[in-house]
Amino acid sequence: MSGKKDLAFEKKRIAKETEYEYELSAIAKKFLPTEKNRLLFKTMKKVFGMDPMTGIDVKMYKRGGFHQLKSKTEFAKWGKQIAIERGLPAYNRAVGIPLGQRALEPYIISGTDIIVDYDDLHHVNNAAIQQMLDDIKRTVILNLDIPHQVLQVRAGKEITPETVNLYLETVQHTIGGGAVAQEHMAEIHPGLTADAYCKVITGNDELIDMLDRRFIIDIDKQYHPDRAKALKKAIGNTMFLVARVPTIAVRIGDGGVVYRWAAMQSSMAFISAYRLTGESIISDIAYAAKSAQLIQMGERTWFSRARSQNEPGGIPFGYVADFIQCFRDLPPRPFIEIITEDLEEGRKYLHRMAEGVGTIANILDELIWYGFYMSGGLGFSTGVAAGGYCGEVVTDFVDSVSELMHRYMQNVKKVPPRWDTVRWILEVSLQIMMETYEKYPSLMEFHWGGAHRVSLVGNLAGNTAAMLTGSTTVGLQGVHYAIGLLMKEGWLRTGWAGQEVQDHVGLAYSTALRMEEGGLVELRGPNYPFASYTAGHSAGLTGTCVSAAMARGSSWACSPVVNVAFADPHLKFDFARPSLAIAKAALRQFMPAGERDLIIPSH
Amino acid sequence: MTKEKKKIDYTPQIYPGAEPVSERRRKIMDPNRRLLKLRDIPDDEVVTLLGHRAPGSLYSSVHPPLDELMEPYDPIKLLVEPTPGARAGDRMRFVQFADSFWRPVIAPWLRARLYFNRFRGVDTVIYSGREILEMRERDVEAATRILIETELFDPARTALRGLTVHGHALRLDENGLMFDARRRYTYDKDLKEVVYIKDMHARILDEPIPVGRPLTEKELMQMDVTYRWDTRQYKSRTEILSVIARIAKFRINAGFKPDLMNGR
Amino acid sequence: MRYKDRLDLYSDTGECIAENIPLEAISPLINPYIRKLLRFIKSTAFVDLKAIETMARTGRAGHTTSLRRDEVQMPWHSRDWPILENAELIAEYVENILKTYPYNGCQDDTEVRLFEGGQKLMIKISNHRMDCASGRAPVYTLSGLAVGQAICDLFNITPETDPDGCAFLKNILYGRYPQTVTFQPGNPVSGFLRPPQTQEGIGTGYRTIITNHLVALANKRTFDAVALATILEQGAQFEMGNALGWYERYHLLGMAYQGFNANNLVLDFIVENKSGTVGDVIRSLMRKALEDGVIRPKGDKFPDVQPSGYKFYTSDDIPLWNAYTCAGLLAACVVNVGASRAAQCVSAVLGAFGDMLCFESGGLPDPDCGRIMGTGLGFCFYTHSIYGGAGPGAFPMDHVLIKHTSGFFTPCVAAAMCLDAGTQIFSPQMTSAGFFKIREEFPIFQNPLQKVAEAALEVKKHMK
Repeated sequence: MSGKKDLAFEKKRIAKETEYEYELSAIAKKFLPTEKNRLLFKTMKKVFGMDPMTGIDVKMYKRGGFHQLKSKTEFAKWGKQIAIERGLPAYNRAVGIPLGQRALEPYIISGTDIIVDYDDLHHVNNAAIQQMLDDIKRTVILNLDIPHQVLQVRAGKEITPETVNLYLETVQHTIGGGAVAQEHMAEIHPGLTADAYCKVITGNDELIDMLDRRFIIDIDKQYHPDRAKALKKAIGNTMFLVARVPTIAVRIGDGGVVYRWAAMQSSMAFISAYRLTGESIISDIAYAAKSAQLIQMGERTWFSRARSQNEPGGIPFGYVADFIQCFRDLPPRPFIEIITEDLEEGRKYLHRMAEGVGTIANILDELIWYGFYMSGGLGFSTGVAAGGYCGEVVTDFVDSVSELMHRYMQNVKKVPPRWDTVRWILEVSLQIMMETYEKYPSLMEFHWGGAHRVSLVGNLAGNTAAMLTGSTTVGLQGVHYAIGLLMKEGWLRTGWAGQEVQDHVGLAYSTALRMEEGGLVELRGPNYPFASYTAGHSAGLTGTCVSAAMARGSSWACSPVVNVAFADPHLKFDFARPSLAIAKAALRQFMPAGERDLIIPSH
Repeated sequence: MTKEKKKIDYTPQIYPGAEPVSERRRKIMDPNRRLLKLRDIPDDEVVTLLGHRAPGSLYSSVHPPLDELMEPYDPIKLLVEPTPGARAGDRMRFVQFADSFWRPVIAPWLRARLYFNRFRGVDTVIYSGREILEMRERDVEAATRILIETELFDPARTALRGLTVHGHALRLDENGLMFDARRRYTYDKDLKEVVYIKDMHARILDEPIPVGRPLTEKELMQMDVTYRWDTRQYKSRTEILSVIARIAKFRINAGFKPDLMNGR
Repeated sequence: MRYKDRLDLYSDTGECIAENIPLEAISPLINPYIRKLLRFIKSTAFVDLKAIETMARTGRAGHTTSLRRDEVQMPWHSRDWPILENAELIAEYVENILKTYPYNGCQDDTEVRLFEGGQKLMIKISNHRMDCASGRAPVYTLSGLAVGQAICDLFNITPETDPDGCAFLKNILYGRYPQTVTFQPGNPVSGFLRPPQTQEGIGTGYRTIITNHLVALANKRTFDAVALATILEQGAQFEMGNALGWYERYHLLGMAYQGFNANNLVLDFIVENKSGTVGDVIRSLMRKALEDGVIRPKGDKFPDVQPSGYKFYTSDDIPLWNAYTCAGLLAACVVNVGASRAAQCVSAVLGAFGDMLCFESGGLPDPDCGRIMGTGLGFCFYTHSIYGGAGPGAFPMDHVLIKHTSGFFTPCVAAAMCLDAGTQIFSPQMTSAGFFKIREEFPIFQNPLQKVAEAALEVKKHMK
C-alpha cells in the first residue's frame, strides 16, 4: 500500500439530487437503436473497427506504433535511404515523440468510399490540393471590351467575329509562351504549359453564337437554366477573357506573376491579330489589360504578411464561395422553400455545400494560408482541414440539423436576420453537434484537437443561421457566438488558445463602423488584420457566404464573373467534385499540371 | 476630491445556474470555499514530479531579491505585495495539466478562472488539451500541491504533462487512464493507484510516485464540471444560455454604438 | 462643451492634482500638454552621428538583421570621416538648411541640438514644414538628407572626388531603401514613430512605437508609463476615427479613468487588493460600480433575477461602465504582475479578465465589448509559443497581434513592463536604452500624469 490516506468520500452521505439523474443515463441508452442508424455510427465503426460509442480503447499502446500506417512505414524506409545516399540524417523515427501509441486511424473521404492515410492529405503530399491552389492563383480575368474599344477608336480597326476568333486563337498560342511578333524570342516548350489557355465569358447570346464555341465557357451547359439566366443577366454584354497562366509559371514565381503574364500575352495576341506595331495604341491596350478592368483572385496583403496579388491571404471569402461549383446544376431556390418541401432535396444542397466548403474553403485558408504561408512545416492544420471533409462527420451533422429544419419550419417563409431570432437556431444546431461528440468517443478521438471541433461546430452553427436568414452578418455573429461563448460554457474548453481571438473581438467588430472593423463577410478575407493570425474560421466565413446565397436562392455569392470562371471543364482541379479530386490524389491517381518531366532526366 | 459614498455590501455571484454543475463551477472559482483534500503528496515528490530542480536544491534566481534590487522610484511597486517567489527573485517555471474530455473534475477555462481567483502572480495560457500555469518557482510548487492534492485532480483523467500533451480527446486505455504518448504514468494493479514513473517532462524517475486511486465513474459523474447528454444536458441550461446571449447582444450592439445599450 | 462629465485627477500617490475637470479637458484635441507632446513626438528626429561614423569606418551598411548587423561586409567602401569631431559644425549646417523663414508673424521653431555628449543630434522639424507636408515623412526625409548634405559639403564628398562615398553615405543614412521598404535596423536616422511607409492601417501613426520605449521614457514609473501609452494610443484612435461622434465620450472616459487615474479609481482598486487576486479586483469593481451608480440591478423579478438568484445588472451609461471596466482591468494587471513582478503575466489577465467579469456582472459587456479579451487571448498565445515571438514589451502598439482594441490594451502592457523586476530578455534596458537618456534630456516626458492634470486645470478656465 502507498501509505497515503485516501480522504475521499469517507463520511456518510445523504442521497443527493444527482443520484436521481443517473436515470437519465439509463433512459438515454434506449435511444441507441436510433443512434446506430446514423451515418456517423457506420463511418466511425469503419474507421476504428469497433463500437464507436465505447469509451475505452483496449488496444491502446499495443498497435505497433507508426507501423500502423503504410505512409509512415514508407517514410521511415525513404528516410533511411536518403540518409545513406547523402550522408546526412533525414526523416528519422528514432527522434521525437514515439508515434502511434494511439490508433492512427484511416481517413474516409466524405462522399466517397475512398480510404486514405492521414499523411496523404498534407498539402505537400497531395497533388490535387496543390493543383487547386495553382488553378486559383493562375486565374485572372480581363475585360476585352476596353481593348476592343481602343482598337476601334484609336486604330480605326474593324472588330468582326473573324477578327475576335483570330485573336482568341492567337492568345491560346501566346498564353503558353509562344512568340508572335518578333524573331528570336525564346519560346516555352508547349508540353510544359499544356494547361495554359484562355476562355471567354459573356452574357450576350448573340455574341456567343458568333464566336468559336471552343473558346467559350458555356454557361447554359454548366449551370441549371435558372442560374444560367441570372448569371448571364448579371454579366451582361461585356466580354471577359479568363486567362489561365501556366501552372509552372506560378510555381517558379508567385501569384503576382499572373496578371502581368496574362496582360502581356493578351496584348501580344492583339498586336498579332490586328497587325499593330510599337505604337502608342499598344500602351493603351496594355493599360486596358492590366488595369482598366482586371479581376484578380486576390489582392496584396498587409506589409507584415506581405504577399503579392493572387495569393491566398488576399482572396476575399466571397470569391472563395464563388470558386465552389458543387451545386451549380441545382435550381436556385430559397433554401427554406426547398428544405420544407422535400427533406432529401434539401439535404442534397447541404451535402454539396458541405463538400465545397469543407474542402475548398477549409484547405485554402486553414491548410494553405495558416498552415503553410503563416506557419511552415508543421502538419497541424491538415487535421483541421480534414475535419471538414473526412469521415462523413459534416454530412451527419447537416442531416441531423436539416431534419429539424424540415419538421419545424413548415410555415416559415422567411427568418428575420435578428439576433434574438437567430439565437435559438444556433443553440439548437450546436447542441446536436456537441452531444454527438459526447456520445461518440471515437469521433472525439477522430477530431482530437479543440481546433477541429471548434471550427467545425462553430462554423456549421453560424452557417445554419446564415442559410435561414440570408444574412452573412448574422451568420458571422453566429460563428463567433457559437465558438467564443456557447461552446466554451458547455465544455469549458475551446480551441488552440488563440483560436477564439476572432470570436471575442468579432462580435463587436461585426457591425462596427470603424476603420479597422466592420464590413460584409463577402468582402473580408484572411488579410483582415485580426483574422490573419487566428485560424479555424475561414470555412465558417466562406460557408456563411455560400449559405446566405443558398438562402436567397442566388446563383452566385459575390461575383458572377468569378463564379463562371471556375465553371470551366478544362480546369485541372474539379471545383465541382473537390473531394473526389483530393481522394484520387491521395491514391496517386491525380495528374497535376506544370510537371517538368520533359526537361529533366527520367527518374 | 471624491465624494464620500456609502459603502455597500456586495455579494459576488460568480456564475449563473441552479444545478450541480454550476454549483461546482462556483465552488471552484470562489476563493472563500475550501476545496476538498483527497490525498497527501509529500513536498519532495511534488518537486520531483515538476522536474525543474532536484528536491532540496536551491532555487535558481533570475534577478537579485527584491529587497536588494536598485530600481527607480515607483510607488506602485512598493504598494503591491510580491509573492514569496518574486521576493526571492526565482525564475519563472511552470506546471501544465491536461484534462480528459471524459467527465473532467476541472477543465481548461475553469482552470483559468480558478487560478485568477485563488492564486497570485499567475500566467496561464488556455488550450483545449492542456493549460499551462507559469509562476515564480516556489509559488508554482505551492500551487501544484493544491492542484494535485485536492478534488481538482483525478489521477486517471487529469495529468501533469510537459511536452507532448496529446490525449484529452482520446478514448481511455484499458485501465481507464487518459492517453499519454510518453507514458508518464501507469495503473499499478497491486497498489490500485495511478503511479507516475516519469516526471512532467517525461524523464524517468528513480522512484515511482503514486498519486492516489482513480475516482470512480460514480464520483466523476458528481464532480464533472461539464454538461453531458446523459447527465446534465447543456440544452436545458436556460440560465447560462440567457447570460451568454446577453453578453453577445451587448458586445454586438455596444460595439456598434456604445449608448445603444444604455439601460438594457 | 459637449459632455457634462466632471472628474478629479489623481497622482500615483493618491494625491488630488486637479479637481472638477471637464471631461474634454483631457481630450487630445484640447489638452495643451497632450497636444504639445504629440506634436513633439510626431515632429522630432534623431540622427546618431556616432553610428554614422562607425558604419562609415567599418564599411558596413544595408544590413537587415537586428543583432550583429554584419552580414553585409564591404570593407573596401570604408571611409574615415571625422564626423563626431565636427559635430557642432554639422549641427549648425543642418539648422541652416532646415530653418524656415518667418512670415506673417510666424516663428520658425526648428530646433537642432546635440546631446549625449555630442554623439546624437535631435532635430525638431518646424511646424511650418510639417503643416506643408501631407503626412509625417519630413521627420525621416529632411533630417537625414540635411545631415547627408552637411557631411558631403564639409568633407568634400562629390561624384568627382568620391563617387562610391556619395553612394555609400546614402546607404549609411537609410539602409537599402528604396530597395527595401524599411530602413535598416538601428538606422542612424530615426524618430519616435516608425517611418510612414511601414505603417499598417490608416491613421495608426502614433501607435508605431514599441511599448518598451514608453516604459523607458517614463523611467519605469507605472502610472507615468500608462499615461504616455494612453496619450499615444488615443492620439491614434482620434486620428483613425475610432473616437469620433458616438465613440468620443467612450474614449475620453476610458482615457481619464484608465490612463489618468481619474477619481483615483485605479489606485483605489490596487490599494484595496494589494495582497489580493485578479478575482478580488473584479469584485471590487462591481462593488464600486454599484456604489457610484454606474450599474444597477436590472429588476427584481424573473428574468432579471434568474432562478438561482443570479442577477442581471444593467447600466444607464455604457461608456462610463466601460471606463470603469478598463480601470479595473489595469488594476488587475497591476495586482497580478505586481505580485509576480514578471511582465509575462499581463497577457493572461488581458485574456481572462473579461470572461470572469461578464459572468460576475450578469452579462454586461467586458472591457471594450470583448475586443480586449479576444486580443488578450491572442497575445497570450503568441507570447508563449513558436508561432509568434518576443516579450510583451517588444511589440509596437500597432502590431497585428495587439492592435484590435480601442487603445485600452497597451497601457496595461506598459504597466506590466514597469513592474517587471528583471525576468524579461526583451526588457526596456535591452530594447530602449537610448530612450532612458532621451527622457533625461527632454523634460517634456517627465511626470506626464502630473502635466496632463495641470494642463487640464489650465484649459478648464476657458471651457464653458
